[in-house]
Amino acid sequence: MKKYAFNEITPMQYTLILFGTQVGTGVLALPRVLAEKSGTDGWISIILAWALNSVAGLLILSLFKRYPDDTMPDLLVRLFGKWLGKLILLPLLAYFAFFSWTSLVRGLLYVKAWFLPKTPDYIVMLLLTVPVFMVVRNGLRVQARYSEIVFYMTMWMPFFLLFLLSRGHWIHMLPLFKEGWWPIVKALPTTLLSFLGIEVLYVLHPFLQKKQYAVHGFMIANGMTGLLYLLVVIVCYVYFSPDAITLYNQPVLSLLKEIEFRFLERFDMVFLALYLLVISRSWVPYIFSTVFCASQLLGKQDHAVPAVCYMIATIVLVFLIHPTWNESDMWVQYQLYAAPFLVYLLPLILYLYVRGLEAFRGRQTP
Amino acid sequence: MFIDGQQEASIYDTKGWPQRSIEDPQLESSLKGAHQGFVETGLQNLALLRRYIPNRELRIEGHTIGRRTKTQLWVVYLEDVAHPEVLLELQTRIGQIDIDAIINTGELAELIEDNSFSPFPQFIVTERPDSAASHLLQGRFIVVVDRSPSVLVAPATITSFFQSVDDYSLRWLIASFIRLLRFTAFIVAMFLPATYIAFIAFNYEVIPMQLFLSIAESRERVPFPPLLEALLMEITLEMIREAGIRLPAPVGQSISMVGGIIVGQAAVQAHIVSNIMVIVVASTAIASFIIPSYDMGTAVRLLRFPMMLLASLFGIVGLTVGLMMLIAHLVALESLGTPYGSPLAPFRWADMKDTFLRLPLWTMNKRPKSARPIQSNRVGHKEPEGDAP
Repeated sequence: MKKYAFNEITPMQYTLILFGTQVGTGVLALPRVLAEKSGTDGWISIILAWALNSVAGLLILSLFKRYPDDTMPDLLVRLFGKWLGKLILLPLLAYFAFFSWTSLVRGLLYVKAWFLPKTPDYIVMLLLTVPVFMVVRNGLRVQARYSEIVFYMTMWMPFFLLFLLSRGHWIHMLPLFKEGWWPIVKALPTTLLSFLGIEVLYVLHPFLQKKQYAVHGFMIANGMTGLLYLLVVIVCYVYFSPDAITLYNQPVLSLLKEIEFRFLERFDMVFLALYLLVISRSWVPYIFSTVFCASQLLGKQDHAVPAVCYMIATIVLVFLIHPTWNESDMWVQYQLYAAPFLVYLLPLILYLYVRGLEAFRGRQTP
Repeated sequence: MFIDGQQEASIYDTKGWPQRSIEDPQLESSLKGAHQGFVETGLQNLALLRRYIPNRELRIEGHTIGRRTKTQLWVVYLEDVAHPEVLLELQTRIGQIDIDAIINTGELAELIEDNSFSPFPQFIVTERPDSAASHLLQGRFIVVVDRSPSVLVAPATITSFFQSVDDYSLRWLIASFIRLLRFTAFIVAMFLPATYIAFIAFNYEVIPMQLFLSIAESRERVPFPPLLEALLMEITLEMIREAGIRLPAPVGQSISMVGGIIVGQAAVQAHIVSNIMVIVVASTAIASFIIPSYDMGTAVRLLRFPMMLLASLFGIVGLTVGLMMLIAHLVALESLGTPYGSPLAPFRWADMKDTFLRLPLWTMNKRPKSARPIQSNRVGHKEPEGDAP
């Protein structure tokens, strides 16, 4: 029985949701973070992270290939029974909820720092969550359309960086491996973090209309993310000197500041304002995953009510905590600890478990 | 009628009503399209449609609604092209209407639409038989309402409001240019005053000093903040526009003259509004006139105000949030269960030939997918193909 036939999405939409989930606020600061950890060799760690992430994604997909009509909550219940399955779902739900929260807070902090320093943060949060909620309360199909249209509307953005490439100095990139492999490996966890987003596959996969394109779509999305990050990082490295780059908090925005028109002085601000579209596109699947898991946990079909609750909770939390950049950095660190378990280890364990089960039952297809 | 030698007699409905002769459509005028518009007699309208499509697949289904008025409706469609699911949805919705009277097509549209709280029209209401016929050929449904001079076209997509019959009789390059112009006008009409407010009142660091100074100079003696200034002008303009519609044509002329003088000249000289504001408001108004559909034009006119408010409260972030909400609304909206944002979201590459551009007709040998036709080849016949979406 196909449970999710009503909300099927096309391979294109599937690809663009994945891509949209991966690309968020992280990329704005990525060149600095990489430069701090591994100097100008940081771009190599992007390639490594891309490869690692591809492997992890393929693992998730090969797990779900066996259960094409199951989301992660369904699968956990199927494998471990109702109670244990739901118990294992809890950390995943917490992870999604926390990830959505930190990335919402990131967006909030950007808006507050760049545009609305005097507006109370909970009002900014309200402002940002209302459109997101308008998308999330609907079925996945609507969210897929949102990702799709935002992709087409923001496709031009990376190409602006290419203008600056001619003003850069390629000499900054040399020599390669100037401090050996260790700094590159050291930067890997943070780079992996900016590639995160593949965990929405847990929820996304059964909705895909043509399952034979699941791997293609994933590889394209992951490849696009990798290429985008490479472009951004290399342009930043070429443009700024290796020492100066660590001085800028968000090198990408500082870079865009250099673009000036006679009628527009602060291109970076306009760019960031429009970049909010991209950021919101990455919130939508995360919040959907959160509320989807929550509704599955409670045994409800409709996820609009959890979505409302989640939104209100976020606003209230912002009102109570008033998050700062430092706190936000700390939360991102927590994510860094949690992500390997839930994104890389969990599918591996499940995969081995399923294979073991099959061997035990005498190679029956489930 | 009895015929000599025949055993059967025929009964004909020869009732007559006072009726208007067929005239040029008022609201949707066209340069090169047909000059016959629908009239208030439903049967005549059906005859007009049949003249365009004398095909045996053309189905006409009668319904009667309205307990008092007993208004007759006809659902018209091409049986081998239109999607049966959409038909079922339309029939169900018409069947569920329980009301005493329906006077106009607009009332029917409101009773069967998907989202009553949306500012956007979810059905095309047209008074042109030629555009109705072309929608039929794309696999859409027409509802002809007796006593109403316009018919309802369903399902609609947002881009279909930017197409006009003239596009297909002009050279395709020119038609494409005009299409692009309409989409630009849509964005300008919705966002220009809001952008002005955001840049002048909120994020003035974005524009260069020189430009800001020259704008500030023209605003120097204006006592109002930009939002108030913009609201003042926009509302005045809306009033002038509304006054022009209701007045008989000769008086309407004088309204536009009075309006033009007051808004254009005197307000600036009296330092109530700035020169630039007049330019902004005037270009917004012109842009909103370019949109061919009146319903879509009114939606844009209305949405301008929340955008202005958001821009004045939150600057360019407010603008982006407004845009986000607009997109969120459009992707969630459906018309008879068919996505309203199609072919943009869900994106359909094949439909792009007739969306922002109008490519030569020989490239369009498939029907656009956004109307969900079950027969995708234009020159196809009865046998439905396997690629129904």
